Amino acid sequence: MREILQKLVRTQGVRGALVASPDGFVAAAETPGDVDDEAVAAAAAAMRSACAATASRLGKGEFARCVLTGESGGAILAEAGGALLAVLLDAGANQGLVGVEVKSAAAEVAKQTAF
Amino acid sequence: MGFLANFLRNRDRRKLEEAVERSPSIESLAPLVKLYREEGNLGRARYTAKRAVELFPKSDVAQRLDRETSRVERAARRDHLRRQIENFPRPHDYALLAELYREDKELDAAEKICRAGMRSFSNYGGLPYTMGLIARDRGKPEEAKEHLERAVRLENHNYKALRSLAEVCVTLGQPDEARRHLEAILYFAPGDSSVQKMLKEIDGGSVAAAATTKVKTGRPGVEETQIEALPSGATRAAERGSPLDAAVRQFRAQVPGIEGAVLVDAFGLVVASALDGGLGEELAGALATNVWRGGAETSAPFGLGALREVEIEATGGRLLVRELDEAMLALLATPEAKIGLVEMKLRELAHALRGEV
Repeated sequence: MREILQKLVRTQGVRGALVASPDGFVAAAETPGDVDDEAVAAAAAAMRSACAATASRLGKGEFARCVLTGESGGAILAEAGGALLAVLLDAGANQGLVGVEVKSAAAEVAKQTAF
Repeated sequence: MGFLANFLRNRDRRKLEEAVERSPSIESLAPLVKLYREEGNLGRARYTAKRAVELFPKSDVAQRLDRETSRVERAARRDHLRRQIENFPRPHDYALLAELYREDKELDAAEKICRAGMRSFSNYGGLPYTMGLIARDRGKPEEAKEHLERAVRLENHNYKALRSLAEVCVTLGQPDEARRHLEAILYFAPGDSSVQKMLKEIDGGSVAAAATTKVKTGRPGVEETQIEALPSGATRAAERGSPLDAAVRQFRAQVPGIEGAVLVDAFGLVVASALDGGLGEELAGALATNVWRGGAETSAPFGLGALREVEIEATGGRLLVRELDEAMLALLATPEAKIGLVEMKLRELAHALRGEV
């Protein structure tokens, strides 16, 4: 799993990535030193829960992905076979390009997880 | 003379900005904040003052700069809202202005503004909500409860009103009622950690069961028929008939794949919508507000700074929530919607609504 994350963080605009279990624990991480992995994993799992409930209430089916954009960076949270792939982006990252890489990485992570 | 003064001022500002960039010190930050304030550039003043506090947390000068900037900014905000109310009164302007006075502990003035707003806009939930907070601040929980109940009757999916009402019920020693209001929140915000914590405090922890029941059956304590009987989004928008509704409806018509749009104000209340018959605007607004709240909480550990947009992609479509001045615009889209076109039209809509929300 580490190799998948290492490959992902080499993508331009990606600052870090981690895989979280559904209950918000860190399964693997490739993040810069200033990132608190445990806090990110917990927040990502809580956000996924809110997104999944919202999608369901709106009749939009299963949650697949959430993109957050802030003034100093962005993040993508993607379903990965029961686990959650959280990717931290630089401000102004090409979300289209990164999105393709995240989708592929999430599929790889899904193959390796059994949450 | 004006030209020379401007020239000198610009030169001073550039020098200070360079000094702050090169090696920030309180000696360069303080005059720069004051200069920004004098120029009316309150956004830069606030940013620079916050930076001073971050860099020099123990400095009295930095703390004072931050306080003064905040005070100037609030005064400017008050003036703006007062002018807005004089020229083109809108219900949420009264609520925002009253809230500013309430936060500054000027409760009489806050109440006066609320009452004036309620005389003109009796069906806007933000005003009884603020009245409830004012009564609570005065130590009058019974009165607060009355106002908050009215706010919830007007907007029964409003997170802030339900939450405050539950807190007041706890104060009044009415745990069953508090639980009912908190469980109502879990209908549109399942898993909300602060609500679950309050529920646990009230009844020692049958929270998960309550939330699960809620998901399956609708609002606890409320029959499904009551939920169904709520006016649809389309009905509410038609009743309101505001220019904002027209702008949102036009946006929806222009962009293929957009199934619905809801504009929510700073109090979490819907001010305009364009939805199909089935989905109620209050529920759509509550869900969007909940997603935004979750995104804002997530953005801190992720280091994203102030949140600008949240997009959820699901197998059957998308929900996009974007900040728009002090409001939030939520869009429901099909999986086929062209996001490039949505972005372009969103910018146009944001421009059209600027100053209107």
